[in-house]
Amino acid sequence: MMSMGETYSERDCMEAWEYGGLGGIKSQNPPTPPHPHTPILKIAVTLLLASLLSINTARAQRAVPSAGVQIITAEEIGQAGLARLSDLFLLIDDWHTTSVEGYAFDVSANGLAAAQEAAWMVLVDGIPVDLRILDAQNLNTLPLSLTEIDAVEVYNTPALVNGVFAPAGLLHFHTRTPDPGAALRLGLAAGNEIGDPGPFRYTAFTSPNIDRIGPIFQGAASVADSTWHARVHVKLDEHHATDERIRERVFTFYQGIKEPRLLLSSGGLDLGTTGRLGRHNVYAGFSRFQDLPFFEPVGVETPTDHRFAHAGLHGDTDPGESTGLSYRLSYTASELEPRDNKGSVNFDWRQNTVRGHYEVRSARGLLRGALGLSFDRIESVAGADLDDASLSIPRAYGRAGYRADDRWDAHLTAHITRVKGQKGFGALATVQFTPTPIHTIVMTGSVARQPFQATNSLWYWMGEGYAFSARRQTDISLPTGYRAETTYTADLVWTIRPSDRFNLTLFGGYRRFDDQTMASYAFRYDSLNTGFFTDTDVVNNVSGRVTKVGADLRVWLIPSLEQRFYYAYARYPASDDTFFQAWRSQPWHRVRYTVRYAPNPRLSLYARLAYRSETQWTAFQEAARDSGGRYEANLPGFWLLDLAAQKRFWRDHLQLSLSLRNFLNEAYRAHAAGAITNMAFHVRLHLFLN
Amino acid sequence: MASSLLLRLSLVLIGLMFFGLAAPPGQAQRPEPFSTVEFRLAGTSNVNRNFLHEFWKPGGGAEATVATPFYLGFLEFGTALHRYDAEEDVPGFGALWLYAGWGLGTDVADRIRVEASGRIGNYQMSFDSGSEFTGVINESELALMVNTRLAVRPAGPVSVFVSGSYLQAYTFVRLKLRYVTAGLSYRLNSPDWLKDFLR
Repeated sequence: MMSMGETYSERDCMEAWEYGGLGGIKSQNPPTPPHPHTPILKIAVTLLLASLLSINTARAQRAVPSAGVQIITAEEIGQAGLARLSDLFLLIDDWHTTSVEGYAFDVSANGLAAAQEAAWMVLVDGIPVDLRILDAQNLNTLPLSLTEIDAVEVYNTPALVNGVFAPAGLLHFHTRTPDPGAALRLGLAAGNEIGDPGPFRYTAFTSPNIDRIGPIFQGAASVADSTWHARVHVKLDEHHATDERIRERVFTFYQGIKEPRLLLSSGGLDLGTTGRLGRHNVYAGFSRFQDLPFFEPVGVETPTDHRFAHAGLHGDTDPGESTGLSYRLSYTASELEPRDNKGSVNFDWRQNTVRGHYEVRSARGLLRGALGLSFDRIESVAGADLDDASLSIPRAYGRAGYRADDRWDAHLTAHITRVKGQKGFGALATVQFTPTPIHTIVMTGSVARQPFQATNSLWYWMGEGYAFSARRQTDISLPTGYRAETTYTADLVWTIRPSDRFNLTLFGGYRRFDDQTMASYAFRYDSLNTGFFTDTDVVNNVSGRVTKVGADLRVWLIPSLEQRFYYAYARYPASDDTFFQAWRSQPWHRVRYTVRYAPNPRLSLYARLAYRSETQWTAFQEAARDSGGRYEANLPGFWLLDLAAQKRFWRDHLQLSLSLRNFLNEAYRAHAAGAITNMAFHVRLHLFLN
Repeated sequence: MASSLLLRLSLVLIGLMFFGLAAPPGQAQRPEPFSTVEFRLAGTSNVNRNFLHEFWKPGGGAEATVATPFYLGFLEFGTALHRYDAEEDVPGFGALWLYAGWGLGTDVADRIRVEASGRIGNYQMSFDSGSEFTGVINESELALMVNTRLAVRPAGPVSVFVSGSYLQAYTFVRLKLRYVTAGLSYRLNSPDWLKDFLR
């Protein structure tokens, strides 16, 4: 949590990326690109002082310096014309996403875990938010308005942040610090995908209707002064599930009065104080998501009503000049209830989670360190009795950092846990070497052994006796036992910055997975409703490797024009059929070219050209063969061009964004069972009053 | 043939705009952003024929636009009403075209100005209600337009203009429509509050 009036800036982000954290480097100025005449020495000294300062003043517990932290600022979110939280994935370079209907995304963070596991995590101001339920996680259900985001830290390597060990990617949202006095922020967005029948609906040349996107309403109101703040926020959103490719499947179970839609409502509040005794916050939030998710074991969309609520308190204080304490306690309730359906599917699932965390940190001379304890207690409630409905995950960890001189900076983090008799541990080491002001090399390595129970996955709970009811043929095969999963990662990032106008980053990564528990699917075509009959085989000794290399080049020909070229090549050797099936649905090649042009502070133009190479969905081979071309097991590569323009009016009180997504109008499909998406137009209007 | 000619004319005019912008400083003074507001009223007519016109016959239309200088070029916001009467066994419809646009312009002679702009907006079609037609009565779709304009200012703030434009609405079967528009415009200096708001 930042102090009053602080905001992130582009410069902060570049610095934070290189130094792996954002603590202590803040600016109230609007984002400014590098100035061509700024002396490099001055920047280096500023960076050094700022990062040293951050050691003693880091309150929000940014992660220890680490390679691969991408920062997305509110400025960039506005310039890109984003309308929903899930649109953030458009800006995240190293994460791969797929979606069936364009609203919920399966995510794999930089090759750290397969998309089917939904193992990536979410923090809001240092608070973990457990959106994941039965191996699915939808970012849009986060009770947070887009208008309240100040910046998002995207962790592309394993990290320990605020006592939360995130081995498979982490999104850390930092909210705006409320402005002093009373303030109101409102956002309204809507979109439309092209392809409606238009007047031809009355002729023989009619075609299916393509529904609008949204509307999306977001708002927040706050009151604050220099020592306290109070804020409430709400969000309403809807998304139509009427694409021709999924429409018939949706109606297998859905039985609503209206056309099938995904309906989201969420809200929350937070209260905070800042003073001599530190910073202390209490918060609460809820979301209700009437969903129609494609559930692989059932093979069609299953109407569900996902209700989520959480509340808690957290804070930190500095009792001594070089020591700090932080604490966190939270309660989360998450449940899946049936939604309008023909009485044919019911998950009957609820989880209550209590989390606690306490940490002591200290810095002396060139050394700094921290010790912490965390505890998660999960209680599951299902229709059928579970063998053991509770799960306790205690964890102890330590963190140490050493800065030898201007050139060397090293950090080591280790944690241990024990879940139902199974031991787990993790270690993360980061070394940053700056041989010259131009070159920075960051090496990160990690090993993690995670008891299978700690994954809190659908397969674990099915092993404990959980069963969903679906009046439809399902075939799930579970293993007789589970093993602790072991993951090794290594990353190397080399940044070359000969001038403020040029920044080249070369990166490479390697991951090795042993004894993973993964699902292997075989989808057979159901011609009755265009869905699938699924054979699900859960395998517990899956092993595999992922390697990745790439480059990221940023160029400022003039200060107001940023160009960015990104290329990544990832490879998933076919060493294990289950592993290969889960990973080959990710492309080998990904290319991005992004241009941001801000000729003045109140006008910006944004363009992003992205390429994703072909993907293989081997689980759908049989269905593709029998569906007469409706489904494909090999999805071709595609180019997407997104354009956005943003103008601010009325002394920044009004912010209007117009964006065109998929301007090349490539009819692409991101998931073998998914919708075909064409060009779409979005309008976003934000109003700020204070 | 006419449409091809219009396209070529558009390209020539766009080229002229860029030449005009590339002229050395001092030869053409760029107006201050949002310093003026120009109101335009015009009649408009669909001049091409294609698949759409096998079912509908275009009627007259009207257009209203507001334009103001931008940091580069100009911004415009407007609306147009287009009418299509049924030729076959289909309902007639009226279309409301709401758009925002950006363009470039240059003075080619004293009191004569040419402009080219791109517009983006919503093309909303409202179908005539009738007992034989049921179901959806409104349809909205994204539309893009390229517009070229020739304006002559005989005296003071008043101008007469003629423009040619090509609109494409992105329905499943695309609507590709060419319009010729003629009308009057009136330009005035922006009040301070408006400049403050727009900046």
